[in-house]
This record gives sequence, C-alpha cells and structure tokens, in this order.
Amino acid sequence: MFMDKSMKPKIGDIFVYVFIVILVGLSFLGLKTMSVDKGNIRVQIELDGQVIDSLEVWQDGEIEAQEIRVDTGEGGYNIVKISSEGVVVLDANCPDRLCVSSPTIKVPGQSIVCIPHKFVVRIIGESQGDNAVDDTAS
Amino acid sequence: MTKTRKLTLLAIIISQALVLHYIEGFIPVLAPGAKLGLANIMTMVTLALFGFKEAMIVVIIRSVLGPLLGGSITGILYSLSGGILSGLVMSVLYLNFQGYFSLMGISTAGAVFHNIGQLLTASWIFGTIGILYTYLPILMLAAVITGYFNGLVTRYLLNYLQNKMEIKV
Repeated sequence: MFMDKSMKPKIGDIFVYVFIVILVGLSFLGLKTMSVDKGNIRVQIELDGQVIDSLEVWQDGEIEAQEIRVDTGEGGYNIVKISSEGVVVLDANCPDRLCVSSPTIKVPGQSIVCIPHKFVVRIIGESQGDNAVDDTAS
Repeated sequence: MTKTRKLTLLAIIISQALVLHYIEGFIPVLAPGAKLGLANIMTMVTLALFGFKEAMIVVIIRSVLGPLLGGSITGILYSLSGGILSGLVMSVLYLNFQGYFSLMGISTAGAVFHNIGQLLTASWIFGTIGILYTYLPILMLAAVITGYFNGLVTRYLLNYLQNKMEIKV
C-alpha cells in the first residue's frame, strides 16, 4: 500500500506550512479585534464555570487601580489587576503561566483564560447580558 | 493477513500507543501546553498497515484509555476531539493525496488538527473563543517540530517493518 520510501518533503507539505502560518496570523488578528460593544462594561471573574466576582468599571473614564487575588483551590492562585489601562493577570502559580503572558484586555468580548486553574476573567458589555456559557460549563 | 494476525497486531499497536502516551507525560517540553504526540506515530503506522477504519479504532481506544492511565475524566473529551479530528485529516491526506504529501507533512497536519480539535473543545467548555487565539500560535510552532519528528520516526519504522519483519505494508 505504501510505496514511496523517500525522506524528502513533497509539494503538498508546503500547503501544510502555509496553512499553519495563516492560522497563526488569524489568531493574532483575532486577539487584536475581539468584539466591539460599548456601554456599561463589567469585568467578570469565573472559576470552574461559576461567576465568583463581577465589577462595573469604566462608565466614566478613570477608575482606581485594584488588585484582586483569586484562590483557585488546591493552593492555586491568580492575581488580577484592574485599572484604567484594562485588565491583566499579574501573577499566577499555574504550570504554563500563559494567563500571565496574555496581553491586557479592555474591550468587551475579550478574555484571559487559565486552563490549569479553570479560571476565566472576561470583559462583558451591557448588551451582551449574562452569557449563556455557564450552563454548558458544569 | 489472517484475522488472528490482524487482531494481534492491532492489540500490540494500541498498547504501544498507550505506553507512548503515558511516557511522554514525563518528558518536559519547551512550550507550555504542548506535547510530543508520540502516539500519533502508531496512528500513522496503523493507517499504512491497515487503513482508515482500523486507524480510527486505534485512535478512539487510545483516546479513551489514555487519560484513564494518568489524567482526569475531562481529559477524555480533549483527547477524543483532538484524536478524531487529526485522525480524519491524516486519513484523507494519506489515502487520497499520498502522492502530494510526505509522511512528515501528513504528521504535521495531524498535529495541527489535534491542537485545533482540543482548543475548540476547550473554547466550548470555557465558553470563550479567546482560548483558541491565545494558545494556537505557540501550539502551532510546537506542531511543526513534533510533527516533522513523528513523521520521520514513522518513515523509519515502516521501512523497518517492511524489510526486517516482513510485514506487508
């Protein structure tokens, strides 16, 4: 069935790599342009699908910077900083620390996710309402 | 190939895939969240030795049993979605477009779609597509490297099976 024994790359392999480059480009584009709504904006912190904290921010510009420490159980923690510049995860003791290296988010629809801790912090615009996500998570 | 021989070979392949799945958990990887995907080698060997149906059987059994060896139950969801999607893509590329793709290319495509399947599942579980955007670039980089490596291993393994073990490929 398998006749070809060559170790050399073939013409189709190029498509695989082009496809990968396109995917990476799209995801960077997606990170930049995630969603739009204006209006009252809330920062919502979720743990394992449950909303554990929800703060209204930015209705009129400046807000006081605050840091929130979220204990995610089993000794895990994520520290979230909310300020005028947006929301960012300052520190966490999850193994991959991708949430810490995630860029600052400010626009509704954006979110920072920490898979190991089942931790999500997302920004929600008023028009989006309470999302229907929590039903699927549990 | 007789029925018994086929059954035995498939059983050996599945157990090898499981062992590979298990020991790769002990191998540290550079990128967070990335894995070597060594079990993918066995999927491709099955694809070459038997065909589509048998390859999917190996993938599904491995994806269900693998997380039970040392993971959580939700791990089954992730490995099943990734495994099935990458199995389908590799089957199509291998069986229909074999002249255009090398095993390294097919393996890389499989790794890419394994990641996509898992990230889509994670997006669904967490309820945000942002997960896809965050994890995809770094996982794609890892997929290029591990995919090429796995393809090469499969190539050598198939040659060995053909020449030394006289298994018809």
